[in-house]
Amino acid sequence: MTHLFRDRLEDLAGQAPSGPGDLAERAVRGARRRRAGTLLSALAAVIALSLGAAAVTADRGGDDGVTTGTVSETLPPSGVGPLSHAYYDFCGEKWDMGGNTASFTGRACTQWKVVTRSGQTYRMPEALSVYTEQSAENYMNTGAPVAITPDGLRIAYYDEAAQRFAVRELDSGRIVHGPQTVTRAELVSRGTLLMLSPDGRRMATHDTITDLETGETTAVPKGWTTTKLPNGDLPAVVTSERGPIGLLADGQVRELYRPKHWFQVAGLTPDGTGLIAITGTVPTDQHMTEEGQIPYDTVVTIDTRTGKERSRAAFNGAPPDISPMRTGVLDERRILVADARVGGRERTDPPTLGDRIYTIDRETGEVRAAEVLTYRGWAGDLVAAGL
Amino acid sequence: MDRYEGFREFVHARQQSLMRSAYLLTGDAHLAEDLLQTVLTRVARHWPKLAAGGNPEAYARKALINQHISWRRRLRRDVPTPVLPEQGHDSGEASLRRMALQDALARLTPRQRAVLVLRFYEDRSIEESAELLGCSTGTVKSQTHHALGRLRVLAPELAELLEATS
Repeated sequence: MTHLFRDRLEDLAGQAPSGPGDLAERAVRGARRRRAGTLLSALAAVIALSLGAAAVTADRGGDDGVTTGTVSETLPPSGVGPLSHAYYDFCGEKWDMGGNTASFTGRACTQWKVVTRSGQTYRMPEALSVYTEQSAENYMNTGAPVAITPDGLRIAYYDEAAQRFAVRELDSGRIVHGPQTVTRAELVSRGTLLMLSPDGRRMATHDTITDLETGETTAVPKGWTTTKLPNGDLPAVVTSERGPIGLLADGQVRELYRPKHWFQVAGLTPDGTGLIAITGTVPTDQHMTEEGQIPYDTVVTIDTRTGKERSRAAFNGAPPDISPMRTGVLDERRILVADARVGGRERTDPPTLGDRIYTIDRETGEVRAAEVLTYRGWAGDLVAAGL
Repeated sequence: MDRYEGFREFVHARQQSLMRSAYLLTGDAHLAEDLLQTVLTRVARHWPKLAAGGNPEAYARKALINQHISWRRRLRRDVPTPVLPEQGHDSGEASLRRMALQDALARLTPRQRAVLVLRFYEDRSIEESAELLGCSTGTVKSQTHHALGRLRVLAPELAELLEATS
């Protein structure tokens, strides 16, 4: 009986979570951010800001440490750790909505930069970024997309030399190209989305899905657009401009759900039985939110067999002004949400832009701030792993 | 040279042990993860010094206790009830026992909870516990006494297992 209480505590401690596998990397990243913040503060206190900008080495972003400066190192051929995100920043210079895009031609600083979870930043010259020949009228189609798997182990990008989309395994350095030829001119004129399944086996643009193991490509039926690409043999999620959400398998779309309110699909549950999305009270026929309207405040799971709502949970613990721009599935219970409104409040030159990443539990609606990914620039793009 | 050399190995070796203590302290899986990550980030920041001559594990455990107490003080109003552990596949009786203990621990003050974890889970001596909590040995003794007394009141069904610890 002497050890009864200890045994009970031991028994209770046995319920402790195993914790994320990359706890050490997260801690190192956090420490680096603090360090970068401290260094930045020290620099700012001692020397003029203009000198500071030249002295800072690119480091992982965060609340107190922002990505900035010149990234000189290119992505090594292999042995790269998991990625956290990728971004491009127009060299930190002003970009006047397409008016001066051509002025960035041939400059390495416009390239996509990838940031590893441990804080290393590399340029990725082989991945096309800004369309420097883009016309001012088509300025919203700014650059070629990239996609990173949720585990950060693979990145999909457009390889201009090969005129194909490609997927690269960061550790082994293995590169697999899609079979279809796509010219740069086509991308500049019409743009595309780019998706990668979490296991990296399938890659999709807005109108094709490619199995990278077999090379087989499936055309998405007319009127539908690829929206989410899950693993293996699960159907792809497609949406129609008319509103319905469908599931695409064997070349056929099965309409699943017609949302009545703004609806952003995060993806399928890993077992494929549920489609997870965020929604709210703004009707689908209303194109802009009005003052005080919250675009998304609820997470729902739709049964992929019946099309009926299986669960619904109001966001719990979300910032009052949360405005999700991109969503993805993290695991069986949680989705990832990116709110891309980091910039705007800072008065630095150039400003800090980026994403606040949250996780949301689809059963409880619990919202937890995961991290803030930032870069310094007047314009650009940031793609987080899994989003 | 990598300033974090050896840190990953340290985390790999001690993560689960630290996580179990964090879980007992917080009573919640998510909070335990947050607590441990915060502490490990602090350990990483001081890693070169700790690796050179310090005791990383002692530092981590002390930080775990201090951070927990600091958090609970700050969040007392916001975190009224911890999430009870999910039911496992074991017998209902075992789950009920765990829930009763969990529930009772949650109603202790952070320091009382910490002192029980140190004394009865980690098997720390009164002196070690005092060092980790940053208080006198007398305070450890009185906190232990009060914590056990409170547990008896809060969870009479645990009286039998608490008997031997008096």
